Amino acid sequence: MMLSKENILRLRDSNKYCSFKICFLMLFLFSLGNNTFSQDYKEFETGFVTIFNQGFNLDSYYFGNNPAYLNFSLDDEFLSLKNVTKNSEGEFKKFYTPRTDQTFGFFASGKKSIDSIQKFKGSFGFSKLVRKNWDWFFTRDYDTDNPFLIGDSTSCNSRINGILINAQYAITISEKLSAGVNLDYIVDEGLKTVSPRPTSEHRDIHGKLGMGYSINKELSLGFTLDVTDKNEQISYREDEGSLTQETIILKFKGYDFPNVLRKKVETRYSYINGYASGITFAYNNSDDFKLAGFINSGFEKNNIKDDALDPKGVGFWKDDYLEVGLKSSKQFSKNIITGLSYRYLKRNGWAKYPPTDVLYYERNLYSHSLIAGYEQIINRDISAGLEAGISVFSKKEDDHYSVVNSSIQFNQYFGKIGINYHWSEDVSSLLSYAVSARANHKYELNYNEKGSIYFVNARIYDLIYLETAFLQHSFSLTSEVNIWNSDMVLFHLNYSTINPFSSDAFKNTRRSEFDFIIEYRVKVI
Amino acid sequence: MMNTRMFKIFYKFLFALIISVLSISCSDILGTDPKPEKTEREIEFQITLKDNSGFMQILFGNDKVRSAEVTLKSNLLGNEYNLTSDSNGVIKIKGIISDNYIITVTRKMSSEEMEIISGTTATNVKLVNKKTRILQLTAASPVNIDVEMDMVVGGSSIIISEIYACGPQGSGLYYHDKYVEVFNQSDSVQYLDKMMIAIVYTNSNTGLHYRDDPEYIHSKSIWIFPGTGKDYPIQPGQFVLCAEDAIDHRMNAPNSVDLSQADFEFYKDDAPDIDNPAIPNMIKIYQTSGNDWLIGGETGALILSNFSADSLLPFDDQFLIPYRSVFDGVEYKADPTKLDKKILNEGIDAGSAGGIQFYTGKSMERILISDIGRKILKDENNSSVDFMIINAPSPGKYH
Repeated sequence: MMLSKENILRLRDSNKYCSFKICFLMLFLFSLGNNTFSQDYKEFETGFVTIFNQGFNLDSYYFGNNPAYLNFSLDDEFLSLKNVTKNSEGEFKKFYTPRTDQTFGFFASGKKSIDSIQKFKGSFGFSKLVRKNWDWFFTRDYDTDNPFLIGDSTSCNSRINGILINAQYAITISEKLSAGVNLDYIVDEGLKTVSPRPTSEHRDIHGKLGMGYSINKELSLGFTLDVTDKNEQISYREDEGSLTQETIILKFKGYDFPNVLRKKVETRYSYINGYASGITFAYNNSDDFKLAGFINSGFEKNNIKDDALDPKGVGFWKDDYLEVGLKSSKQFSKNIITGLSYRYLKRNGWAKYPPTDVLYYERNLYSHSLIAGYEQIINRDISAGLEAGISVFSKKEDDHYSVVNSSIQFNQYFGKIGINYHWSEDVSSLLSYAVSARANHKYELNYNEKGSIYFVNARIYDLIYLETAFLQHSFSLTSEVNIWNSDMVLFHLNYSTINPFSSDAFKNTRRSEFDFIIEYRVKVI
Repeated sequence: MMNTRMFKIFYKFLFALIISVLSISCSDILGTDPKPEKTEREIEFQITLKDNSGFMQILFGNDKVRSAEVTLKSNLLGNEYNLTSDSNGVIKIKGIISDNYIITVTRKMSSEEMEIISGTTATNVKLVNKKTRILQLTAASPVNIDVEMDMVVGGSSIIISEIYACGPQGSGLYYHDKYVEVFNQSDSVQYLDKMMIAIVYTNSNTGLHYRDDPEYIHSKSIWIFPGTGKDYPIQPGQFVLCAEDAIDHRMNAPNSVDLSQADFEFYKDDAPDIDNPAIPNMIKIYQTSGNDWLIGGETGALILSNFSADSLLPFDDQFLIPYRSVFDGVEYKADPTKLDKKILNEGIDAGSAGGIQFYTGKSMERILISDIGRKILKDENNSSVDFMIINAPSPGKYH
């Protein structure tokens, strides 16, 4: 049965003591890419994937990112003001990761029915990324495996300030057919805060078209088309501070052997285009069982050019990907809810050097992630939950340019327990603890013994990091406070500590992460 | 509302379309760059050295140049590979990155070989690669390459041995301590009288240069050594320092150099220039702008010529110096890998020194290849391989 607005509200009322919504999948480390634009700040965090959500996310809008299903979203209409603070710091990191990575964001969003068949959701936000003690690099999206990275010999702080705009529109064309579009627009500017003070400018546009069709009352199918267009410009200029100081620009084409240029002026352009298409589906036979899934396939390519006066291609990077997701929720009785989530991701990327049309780099990775959850409603005020999962990850890299080859396979195990308590009709809290451990199955690293210091002393840690087993502990608290019968304040705190235990390279290091999100929601009548 | 049946048909069509899109590759439809078939560093290149002089034919019955010393220098990374050709005149190299390689090939002819060839025991004859100075070696290019070699007798007797142009560290925009140093590479006394030092003309704003002029260097800054014939000898292995201002610059800039003992000074008598009366002045032939002799701090080119100043040919606002009169020429660039933006003809200098930024106190000095008896500096007519960067200038001597 397709959920109507009345059903949604009734469902919410009947489960009021458990009114948290689920965040988008945060556990899966490797679901980078093109489908995160509109989902980043959409739903409130709990840290759980399969439970403590009442199955609200089990439709093709939330699980499949099909904007056509905005119509069938379980959201109330509301205006939201949200502040996000994230901090990650420590020495257990890849070489090219900043020692401290901070994200600050402020977002305003709202959703409103235009009429009975049209709905609109829009958001506007400011974001600030602060990267402290960042060695060399200055590419915003440095962690995509694109080997063509530019930097300089300095280690310092950088910040990237930007605005984000999102608009979603959906229309019910007929009783069974709906359509929707999603548009994301991001512009930001970056600055490295010490001489030579390079600057960067980014403009990202992502559009998504979705269609949805209800085959019957229980099953709906849809498809999506994605187009992404991004530009990046990184500029080194003759900064006054660097006038009497030597500037060394590093242009990486792989892990090793960067071009080391003693010059003050350089401009790098990156033109990124992505295309993807996908299928979404959702099955909902009753309130007891829900199932949603998607298959999404696409690619992203990046043309990199240097020189402002006469731009010439210096790199080409292409990444093909396939994502599959399946998620279900089953309510066995009034007090027992279970959930299951599976995700598969496959990425095959390669890079070439355009002037010579020669293959420089290849990377193939895949991951399977499976999470099962069990939620027990103990009484009207208390419910408890347990989640457990496993991720299987494999990555193979062949850096022909640098003569560096690596392959790794590991499993990551995950367990999380939580308890939700209603202090009163209007106040509830969810407290949870999670532990995650990585265990390696296979690891190989071969590199040129005549490698330069840029690899041996630095970028080899990008690879060693990946093969390092670790133990992660996370504590989180999520609370919801209803005020004046119409408004709501939600906040989420999460603290994680990651401790490696199998590597001399990262001995006595750790990394900690702290997230704080607070949101104020006002219902729109 | 549209008819439900029509929607079913429409939707089935769309569904079939999306399956097709997924089953074919998006990349194919959108026509993106194909993945290259050739992989970096996998190719073995074979370079065959062929003699145009006929010497090898006389000595060995074929035109293949055996026992030649070959240096390949990667333009982007700067690594050098030193190889020797085999009896078939072939060198093989594998595992290198795709790049433009600056190639220098030298086959010195022994006196015994020259006796067979010409009946004389000449010792200063060699075969060099005059025509092919840069090779593009990429996995996608041909793996068999021929390099032609021609005979050269001797070499330039007087060469530019050092150029210091960037200015010292830590003294703001101080730039008056520039100099050029020349060196007698030969085994006999040479004379500097009336020898010409010219700055090769280029306009960085417009990109105008005359690199491809078939006959002439273009210059707007031409100076000559004083003397009438044999007034200023330069001994074998002697360095001669020509300073922009022959003073102890450390008084003005602590990290600069003492040029008060320079051999010559560029003094521009129509401008408020410094003149050390104890040092002989270079003679300005032509320089219309500036208050001093001034070479580019990061990018520029200098030539040393024995052309008569009286025979200079005017061209626009420049004068022309024939290539045939050039003893030596050196180009240096802020980014020496950008050989496509050279300003000096490749016949004079196939590459570029440089890679030095303003006010870093660094200098460019020719590489020493022998110091037995007297110094021999590298002179392959290719500044990419002939010069190196030194951290502090060494005026009037080798560092």
